[in-house]
Amino acid sequence: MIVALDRGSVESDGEKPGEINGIFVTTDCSRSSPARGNEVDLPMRFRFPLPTADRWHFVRRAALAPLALLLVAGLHAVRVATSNQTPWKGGGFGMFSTVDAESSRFVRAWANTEQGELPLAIPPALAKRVLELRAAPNRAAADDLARHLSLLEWRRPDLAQAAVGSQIAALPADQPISGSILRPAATSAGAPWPAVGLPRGLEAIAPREVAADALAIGGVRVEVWRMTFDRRSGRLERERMMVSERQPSERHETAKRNDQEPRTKDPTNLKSEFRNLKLPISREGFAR
Amino acid sequence: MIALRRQISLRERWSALQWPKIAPLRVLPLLTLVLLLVSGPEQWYLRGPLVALVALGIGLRTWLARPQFWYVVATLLGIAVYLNWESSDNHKYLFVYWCLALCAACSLPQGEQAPALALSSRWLIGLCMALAVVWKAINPQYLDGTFFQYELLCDERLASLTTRLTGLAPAELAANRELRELLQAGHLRGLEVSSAELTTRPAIAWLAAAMTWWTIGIELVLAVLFLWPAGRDVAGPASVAWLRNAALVAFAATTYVVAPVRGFGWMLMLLGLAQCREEENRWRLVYLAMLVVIQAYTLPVSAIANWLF
Repeated sequence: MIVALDRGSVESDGEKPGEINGIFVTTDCSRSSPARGNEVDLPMRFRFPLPTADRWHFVRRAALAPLALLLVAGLHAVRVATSNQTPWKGGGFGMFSTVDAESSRFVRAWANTEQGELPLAIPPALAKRVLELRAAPNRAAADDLARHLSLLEWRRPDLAQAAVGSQIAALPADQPISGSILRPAATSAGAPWPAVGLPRGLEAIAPREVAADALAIGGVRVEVWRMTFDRRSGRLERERMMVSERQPSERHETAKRNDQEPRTKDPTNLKSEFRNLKLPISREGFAR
Repeated sequence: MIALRRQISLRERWSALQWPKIAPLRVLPLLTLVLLLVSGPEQWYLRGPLVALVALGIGLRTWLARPQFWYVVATLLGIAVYLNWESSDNHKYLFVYWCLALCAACSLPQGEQAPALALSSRWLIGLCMALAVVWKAINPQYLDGTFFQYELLCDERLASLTTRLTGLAPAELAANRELRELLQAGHLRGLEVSSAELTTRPAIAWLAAAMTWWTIGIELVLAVLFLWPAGRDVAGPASVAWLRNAALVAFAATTYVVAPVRGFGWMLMLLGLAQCREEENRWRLVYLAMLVVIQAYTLPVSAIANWLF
């Protein structure tokens, strides 16, 4: 049979190896078919030595992907050693080696309000930043998240839900409800907090929504934690890795820099300010 | 005597069976496209172009033999990993390297393509396993069994195994996961939890120790076998090649039944298939069968069994 190669061709019979420009190739008639065109499969019995130039060409191509793997793995090792990055993420193949995975790290956020320090339910629109912070906590990323959280408007979700519920309950059962009822104009500010154990985290108000029930927020604090596990006691504990605080003055300065009016007054300002944040808005963002 | 004759006859029949021939350069690109369709990037801005490329590749099959096609696919996958490194699992990186290997192999003369792909695949598997071993070996939490104890008690993917082998009830494991959740997000419900005691059993420690040493052991064996110097023959010595295949199939069969990470499992099987020697057609068939087995591992077997019986 005739096996065509880029460097020329050779005629050989059956299983006998033939030499082409120093490459030893074993041919196999059963594998090739003219109908397959350039899909002909040549056998793998492929032996060195090739001529030096060809050998290096071959090895360079074969080693390209493994070298890329080594390069990324080296970078990953440096980041794990210097930046608190979890071995699970980053392409270093450190998965299933430590409890300190990004899933064992968590981010908590708090806001200073007139009612005291309240937890913030971080909106899904900021999920990527939170994930990055968990995978490789660093001061700049924590400060950045705190800044973004401080620029958002927040409200008590229980009051908004209660207002919607009371409006629906007040309607006759056979009356259809409309979308406007889902956005109550006012909520009963100062109502008691839900019992401990029920959701108490403040929810972010979507940029397009009129923030009639927004709370006045002072500083914002972002904390990064990780869990540790003691196999002898079976105890799971947490350990704080990092804290970042955003003071109210910084928040107001940012608003001034952006030439923004207080956002609660005009929803169009909110929209433009939100656009300035350059957030990776996902479809499910603010859907909660 | 009759039994011996029957045995010989069976062996003869076995070797006389006409096994389908698998041509790696024809099968691997197509299997790669299937892999990318089921485990590719989830971001719409990357998934859209990738699905379009896959459709074009299937429609215009000659494209699958061109380096440009695999270069574009590798670039797309690389962008996906670069932009989403914080959520990209390690096998997503392996997809990029694999497509790069296909690109590099397709850029060579035809006679060198399959050997180049085999060599790249062998190095990729070897390096991947060697790195996995290094990370485990330098981590005291792994070596003393802490990691697998934690995983057995808190990882939902291992819950079924934990229940079967240690007797911990599913409800107890669910409670462990809830405790972990409270530790992480209890503050959103006004609960400041600083520590939690997980429900465990003595058998957990034994199971964790067995998993710890089996995993690092088989990964070490794979790293050594796949990075074994090839010498003059690119395919390496036949005895080492047999061990490589057996170890890789054993690894896949035991690992992915416990943690069904289909993307990683399929990728390793494709790499395994690509690195087979010319005469190892049966191992290629085994790797192909393992793709089906790994897919079967993802089935909710417990739920189906409960429903049936």
